[in-house]
Amino acid sequence: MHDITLVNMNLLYIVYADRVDRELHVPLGLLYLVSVLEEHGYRVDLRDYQLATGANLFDVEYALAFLEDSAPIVGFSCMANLLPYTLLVVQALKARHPEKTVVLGGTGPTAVERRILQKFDAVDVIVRGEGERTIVDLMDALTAGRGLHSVAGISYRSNGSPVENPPRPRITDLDTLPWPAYHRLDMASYQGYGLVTSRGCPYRCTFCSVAPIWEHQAVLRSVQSVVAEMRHLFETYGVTMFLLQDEYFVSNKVRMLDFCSTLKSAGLPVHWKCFTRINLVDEEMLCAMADAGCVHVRYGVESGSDAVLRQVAKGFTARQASEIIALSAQLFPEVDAFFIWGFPFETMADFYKSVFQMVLFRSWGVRVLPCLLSFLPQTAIYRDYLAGKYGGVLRFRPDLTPEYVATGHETSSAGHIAISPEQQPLFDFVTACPDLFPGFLQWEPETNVQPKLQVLCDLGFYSDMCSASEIASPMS
Amino acid sequence: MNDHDSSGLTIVGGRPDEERKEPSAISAGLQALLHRLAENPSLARDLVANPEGTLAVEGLTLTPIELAMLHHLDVEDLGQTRAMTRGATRSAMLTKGMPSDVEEETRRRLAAQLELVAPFAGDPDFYMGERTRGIRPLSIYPTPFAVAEALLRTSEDFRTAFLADSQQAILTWSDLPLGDEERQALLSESVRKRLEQVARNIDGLAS
Repeated sequence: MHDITLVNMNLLYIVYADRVDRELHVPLGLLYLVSVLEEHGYRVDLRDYQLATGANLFDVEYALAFLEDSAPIVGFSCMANLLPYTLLVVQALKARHPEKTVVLGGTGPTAVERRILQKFDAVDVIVRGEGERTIVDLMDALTAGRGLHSVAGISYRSNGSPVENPPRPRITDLDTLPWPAYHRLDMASYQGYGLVTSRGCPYRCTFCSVAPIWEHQAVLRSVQSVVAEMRHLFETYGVTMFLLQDEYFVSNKVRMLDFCSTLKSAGLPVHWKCFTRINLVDEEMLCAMADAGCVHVRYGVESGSDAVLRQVAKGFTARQASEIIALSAQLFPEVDAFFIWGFPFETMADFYKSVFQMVLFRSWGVRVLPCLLSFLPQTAIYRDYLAGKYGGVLRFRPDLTPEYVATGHETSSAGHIAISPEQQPLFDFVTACPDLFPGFLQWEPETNVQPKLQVLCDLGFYSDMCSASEIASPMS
Repeated sequence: MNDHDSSGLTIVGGRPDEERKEPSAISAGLQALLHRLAENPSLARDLVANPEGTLAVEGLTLTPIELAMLHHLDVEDLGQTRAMTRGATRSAMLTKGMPSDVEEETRRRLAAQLELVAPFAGDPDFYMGERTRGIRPLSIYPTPFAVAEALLRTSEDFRTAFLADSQQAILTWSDLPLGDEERQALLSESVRKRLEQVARNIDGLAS
């Protein structure tokens, strides 16, 4: 008998017109929780929805079968893209098993905790922020039958009303955390092996949904601890490719050079990929990274317009971006450049500057990834929208949304979302709760999204999903 | 350990990128324009002042949407085409000559090295170590950047260390505890030929 079931609902599940791509990543967040719970003597039942193999993963009945025989306390971790589906599953689970206690965590419920607790009786507790300390306190309280008023870092319902307990102080020494409970997984089943080297980011990019969660404060692990974990993963599981996905992995030059030197000295025959930042790297760092086995760097370029870059507080210029991207393209086999388009303040002139950079970077062999702006609830740009700064309205137009995320990560089918009957409740749910899922909405789709998407399609971006004629008509 | 390492897929965000690496729907005219802008900075000013006229003089045709884009760009935007050229200065020196203050012998040795490295620049499989079982290819052979770096340095110590590193890398590869059949299976034909060529040339340089 387990004390708690932890369910990973974070998926990379990409539906195309002719195929589905899945990519299984080690669920680090939950593995950290498993480690600390096991340290405190709790018996944890870990279930990773990535490993579900049903024909329709987004059928609630299928999820209920996946959750069969779960523990009395069930915790779900999800991001914003799977929040609608997770809530549907939670409702169905609670309807069938009203005795269970349901806990939500992860970035998905962040900033909409109160609204979730107000609207969904099925959700009992929402863990805010880092979960390692909170989950142990929460389990202690639940198993002892104590009230939850003393558990910092949670929101819950008391006498039918949402209660928000004080936040829990951040963990300031990440080296003290036990490593993720890799032993609980069949590691060979996965394709992406991430590693947490830091938590938080001090930058204040207005569209970012991650840095606000950490209150713009970064905490870094020691280089020695990171390399030791890499060694463990290599020696125990044969991992030779690491994904260093932290927003702030490349936080400063001294640390980066130290990491590269330490990793080289370790003599591990491994490679790694990482996110980095245009204004935080220079030639010496990039060379050291390449020499230490980095084979893939990813940059959030966001825009080719300096006016937009200033508006979103990105902290560098378009010219700086092109210089670093050019240098990186010479040093690394793979370079990604992410762009965000569809900002309310992005004029067509601004947009064309971005498009020019996209074209230019692609001509250099860089992978260009344009992404439509998502108004996630914890972002400054969404708050500004609510405050009326931009005017206009957010509306749900899935047919225009190349980054549609309801069923995994994104869905596309010849320019229109193909909504299967099984998925229809999901779409209806999003439509019915725009205040819970603003990340699915688009700002002024006809005048802002549509013409820009047209240009991107005409220039071969999103080429697999749309054509000029198909963008024109709204979905009925 | 899974055979996949997600190298062909995304990490988080974005799409699987196989299609995205294919040439986009950019016209030949725009591609040619990017190249010319990279080589001729003054072209940017002409384009901003008179896009259609300049394109006509250059004999280039853009699609309507490319032309619309061009009308929204300024000299600073177009000047970004130079970034790759600037970054590639060292590489260019390999083929177009080096500063006059670099001694002739250094030029000869390093030009030979650069020639060796050139094929590697476009071979992701080699870089990725897909076929080298995790042996870091950047250790097997220096990056184009590292070679180009050598071009800029006249220090004998640097050159000596550079050659020693290269030789050691080859030795490391040779010393792998693999059977012949396994070794062959790990190496694609093209990579094997290149490694052999590298070994021969390094021997030649060191002798």
